[in-house]
Amino acid sequence: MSRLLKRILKISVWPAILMIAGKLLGIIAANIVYKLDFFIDNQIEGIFSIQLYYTDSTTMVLVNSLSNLLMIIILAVPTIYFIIKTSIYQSTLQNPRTIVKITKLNLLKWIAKDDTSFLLIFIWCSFLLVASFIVIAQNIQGICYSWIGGISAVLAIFSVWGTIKTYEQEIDKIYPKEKELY
Amino acid sequence: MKTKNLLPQIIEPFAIVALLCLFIVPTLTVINLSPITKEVQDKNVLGVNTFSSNTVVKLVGGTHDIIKNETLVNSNERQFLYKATIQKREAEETYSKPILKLQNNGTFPVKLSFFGYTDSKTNSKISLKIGRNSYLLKDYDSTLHAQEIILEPTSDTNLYLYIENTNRILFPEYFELEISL
Repeated sequence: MSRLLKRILKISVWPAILMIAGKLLGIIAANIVYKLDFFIDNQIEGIFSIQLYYTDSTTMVLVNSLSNLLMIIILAVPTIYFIIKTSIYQSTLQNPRTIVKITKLNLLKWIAKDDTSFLLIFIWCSFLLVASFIVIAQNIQGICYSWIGGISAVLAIFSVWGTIKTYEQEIDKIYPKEKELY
Repeated sequence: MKTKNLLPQIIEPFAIVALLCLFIVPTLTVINLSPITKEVQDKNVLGVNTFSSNTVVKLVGGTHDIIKNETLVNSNERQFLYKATIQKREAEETYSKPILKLQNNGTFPVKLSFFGYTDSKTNSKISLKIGRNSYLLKDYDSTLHAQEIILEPTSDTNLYLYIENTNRILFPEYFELEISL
């Protein structure tokens, strides 16, 4: 088995678990906070056999929206953290001013530890994109608040942009830009 | 003779499937966890209900000169019993009081049945009122009438008890109203 595949599998486990956990925690939290009544029923048709039901649509939209928001936040926070960390790290390699600023802020140890790779960012971004697509689709269906759909779209666009920038920086390491060398 | 280890090559397709599963399983789980709306079915003896009803019947309460000692008992999920004491009262007078607040939080209309009676035969006409609609429960000749009300989805209304009597009533009488969902 290739080392790349091993590493992808290792990295993918956490966002996969957190995606499900975020959704589940959101549902539980909404039920506890708003003291809602729900019931679980079995259905013979379709892919899924067990389904969560609410008796009125307003409650269903509320629970779905809050759980979607928590899921998106749980996936977006590490993704954005990795992107920012990588971009600051790359900036320190190219710009001495950044090193000075980082040293003043006492973040040199945090930045110097290069445990963030493009692969990590790419996988986290992929999970964030999948989650955002689900939220936007549910927003179009009218079972999620539009502002949560908007937040998901913005976060997805930002993370894609960050991933592309990280990719460019990684490529620059291998094939340095000519104008910077000469 | 040196043998080539084929195990990593055999495992690799399974690892790719596992990787695909890591993306597909959370996606399907999240879609499945998204709740949907469904009207609660009235389960028979074989089923088990894990919900509380959408229909809420609440006592309005408050003080009134004639209608006193109000209680509301929820005998089971579909049966309520409202009790009150109607005090002695003057002839040719009418009395009215909001007694119950009815709420339907569901997505389908709910039918409520009412049956009211007193412990004595007085020349009183007792009826229920919702807005301008009147529902006769007990006529002047003590004939009892069962009534039905349709409560629209996501609506609430106040139910008034309306008492008219031709003669002077010199003693209190006990009134009971059975409410069935």
